[in-house]
Amino acid sequence: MSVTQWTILAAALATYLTRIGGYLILSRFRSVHPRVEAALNAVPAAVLTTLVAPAMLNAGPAEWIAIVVAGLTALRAGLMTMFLVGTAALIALRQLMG
Amino acid sequence: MTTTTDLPASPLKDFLTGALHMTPLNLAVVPWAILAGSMAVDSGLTFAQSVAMSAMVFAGAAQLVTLGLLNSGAGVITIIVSVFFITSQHLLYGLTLRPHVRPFSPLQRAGIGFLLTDELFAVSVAGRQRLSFAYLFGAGLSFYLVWVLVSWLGAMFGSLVPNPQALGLDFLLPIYFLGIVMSFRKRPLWLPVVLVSAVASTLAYKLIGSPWHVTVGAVAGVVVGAIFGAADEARQ
Repeated sequence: MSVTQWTILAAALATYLTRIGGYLILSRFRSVHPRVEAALNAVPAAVLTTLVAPAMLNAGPAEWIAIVVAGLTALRAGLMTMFLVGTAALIALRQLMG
Repeated sequence: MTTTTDLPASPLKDFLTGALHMTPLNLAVVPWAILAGSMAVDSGLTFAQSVAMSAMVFAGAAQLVTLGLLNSGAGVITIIVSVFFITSQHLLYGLTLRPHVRPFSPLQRAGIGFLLTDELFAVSVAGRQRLSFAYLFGAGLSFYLVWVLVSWLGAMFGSLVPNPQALGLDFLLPIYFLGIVMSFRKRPLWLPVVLVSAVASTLAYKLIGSPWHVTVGAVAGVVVGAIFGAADEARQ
């Protein structure tokens, strides 16, 4: 096999290890410490925030306004409505400002 | 778009509901899959290697970093270690989803593990549906098929497609992820966790660079949860 093929295989194995690793680590323990439990409860908000915040750095006024509109919509409406409103705002603002 | 409650629960219905709930993310990931396919070809991989990479690694950031390291002549060990850390947020996802995955058979766990992505995790924690195997499989498999098929198109026609940013599609994922973050706003410690993760990930993005900001920001937020969450519980 070529270096490229080995590299693809290696990257695939490393990624799969992280995907399956979380199940394997804790399945060795019968009960979970409250502090670990509290930490795990914070995971969804913490991780998903890291996928939003830095994207703002590379963005401009159109994206900033669209994300604020989407965030405000989320206070009143469900996920799908919020996504559609945010997307519509983004497209409209990019047309206006671009 | 919500689930129909008048039909009895069945694996097929769960599977389709999962695929349905994944639809916005299946659309939002299209520009990134085009990028993954066309970047692989641009980096000198053959067409077959480019598609195989998306089918086997199935992680955009890890694929782009692998291509960069491959072109810079890095060794296989360096690439394994880098990819492991770049995708290490999956460890946290697996830990968080463990109570739901525990009843699954080993083969089912291995399969859902392979399909675990930022996007599948986001749909899982949105709390719209009980997390049966069929639901997770429907959501994960539809996302996988979109990723591989669109990467294939990207590898074939990538040079014909304008920069994804110009199409205005590149910002849909942040909008969707914000929606999920907002849906957690009633949870204890939501604001401090979100603020700390936002600041830490933005700083890491500036100082270390993408995609390390994901793990750095996530760990910072989780530490806040560990310190103050446990203290809250002790007081009650």
